[in-house]
This record gives sequence, C-alpha cells and structure tokens, in this order.
Amino acid sequence: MENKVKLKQEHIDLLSNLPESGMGYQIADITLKDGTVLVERIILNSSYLKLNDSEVLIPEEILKIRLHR
Amino acid sequence: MIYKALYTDTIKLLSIPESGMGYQIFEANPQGSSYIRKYVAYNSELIIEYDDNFAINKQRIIQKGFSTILNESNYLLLQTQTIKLLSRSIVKGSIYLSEATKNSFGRHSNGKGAKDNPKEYASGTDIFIRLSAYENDLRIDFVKRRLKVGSFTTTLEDYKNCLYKSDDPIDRYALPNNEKIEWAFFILPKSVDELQNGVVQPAFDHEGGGIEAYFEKGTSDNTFHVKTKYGK
Repeated sequence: MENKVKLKQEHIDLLSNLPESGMGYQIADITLKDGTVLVERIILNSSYLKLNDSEVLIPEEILKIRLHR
Repeated sequence: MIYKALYTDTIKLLSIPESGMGYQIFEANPQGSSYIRKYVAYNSELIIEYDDNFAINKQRIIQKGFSTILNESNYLLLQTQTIKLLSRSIVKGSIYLSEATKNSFGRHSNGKGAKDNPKEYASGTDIFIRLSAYENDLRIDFVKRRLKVGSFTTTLEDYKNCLYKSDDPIDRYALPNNEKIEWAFFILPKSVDELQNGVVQPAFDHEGGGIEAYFEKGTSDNTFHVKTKYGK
C-alpha cells in the first residue's frame, strides 16, 4: 500500500491543469507552512502526494505547490 | 552467489506467478537460518542471490551461458515453505539476462523521450491509450471529452504489446508508484492535434522502453472515446 495523502481541492485544481512529468504523475516542489520545502516529490493523478514510508503529512500543512524545474 | 534450485523448490516456484517473462523475484529462508534473503530465479531453476554482487553474477550467466552455469552451480538449500514472491519494484536495474528477452516484450532500447522529439500532427486515425490506477483520471476532461494540456499516453500498438506479451506496465512505462493499473482511456486525436512520440526512459528503478506520446496542448474536444478496465 502506497503511503500517500490526498491534496486539498485547490491544489488538485491547480495541478490538473499543469503538464505531467510522465503518464499519471507530476514532479513538484512542495512548500509547507513552516517554511520546509519538499523537493522533487511525486504527485499521482494530480491529486495524491506520494510520501516516504514513515512520513506523515496532512494537506493543511501545505502552503504552495509548483512543478519542479 | 549463483545456485541451482532443488527440484522441490523448482516445483514450488512453478506454482507461483512470474515477476516478468522468465523470472521470479522472491524471498526465502536458507535451511538452518532464520534470516530471510532475496533471490531472483530464472526459469524457476537457476537462482541468483539478490545482493551487492547481483549484477556481476548476472553478467557471468550472460557470458558463460545459462546451461553451463546451471551445470556448474551448487544446489541452494532453502526452506521451501518460506518462499514468497516479492514485488518487481524491490529490484534496482535490469533483471533480464539478455537484450533479446527485453525485446521479446516489444520494448525499445534506443530513442529519446517524447518531450525531446519534434512535434507532429496526429493522423486522425491513430488511437492513443492512457493507463491509470485511477478511474477518475484527472488528465481526462470528461465534460469536453478531451485530454488536458501536458498529458502523456501510449499508442494502441504499444498497449497491445504490453497486454499480449504479459509485460508489466509499471516497468514498461517507468511509473513511480506500484499501484495496479486498473483503467485504460482511449483517445482518438484529430489531425489538428499535435503530439510528440518517444520512448519511455528508465526512471524510478524501472526500465521503461514502452512508447510514450505527449500532448503538450492536450487534444480537441470529443477525442476521448471510452474508458475500459485494463486489458478488457
């Protein structure tokens, strides 16, 4: 079972109109409200952030998402 | 180390599914040991321990030949009842013993990714398939029945190759998650729609080699035709 968290609708709406990195996924940098930046993270179906095995994150912690360049 | 499987273990391995064409990735306890080890079995009879020397041992088989190595290898003594199939994704790099095996899946060894190739117009008759673990694939605009901007697909031909050759779509299309592909979305772009064709590059410890088609601007309205279960 993948460890993943469903994003807030505003982020899903944003991502679903941005280009993919490959079939079914995007690679993005995630800025959290505490200033932490999660770099090159995988987002599935523009709606699920794939987390590391032991990672815990709630969608409300996310401030900003942008595609990784 | 490279080993020969005991007959009982070959029988056990033959009773469980393959991980890919001709090989199985599994874990088991050696006899007299409580430590689980990982292995790759070829043709359910030649076994390489999946350790730091895996790539070297695999190369030995390629160089000396399967039969020669099989004849000169010692038997691996396993606790047969502990044999358990593992996910393909636990193994990094290539499993295949030869390029010919890879090609038997109809995969492509050379070529750039789609985004690195020039744009061309769709024929208006070629069908493209989008594979997904999600029934509500968000790259499909179900209202306007089209592909959204910046979406990847594969070709119908490559999808058929994947299906009929029993290939693993997660490895073929180098997908980052191991969720089972459940859905196929059929797209028939119009001749005004632009796309870029290419070969899926290795990524996420997967080999790629499938065909990918990238639609930077998406597709025209009413080009999404049908959604089916994967393989149906």
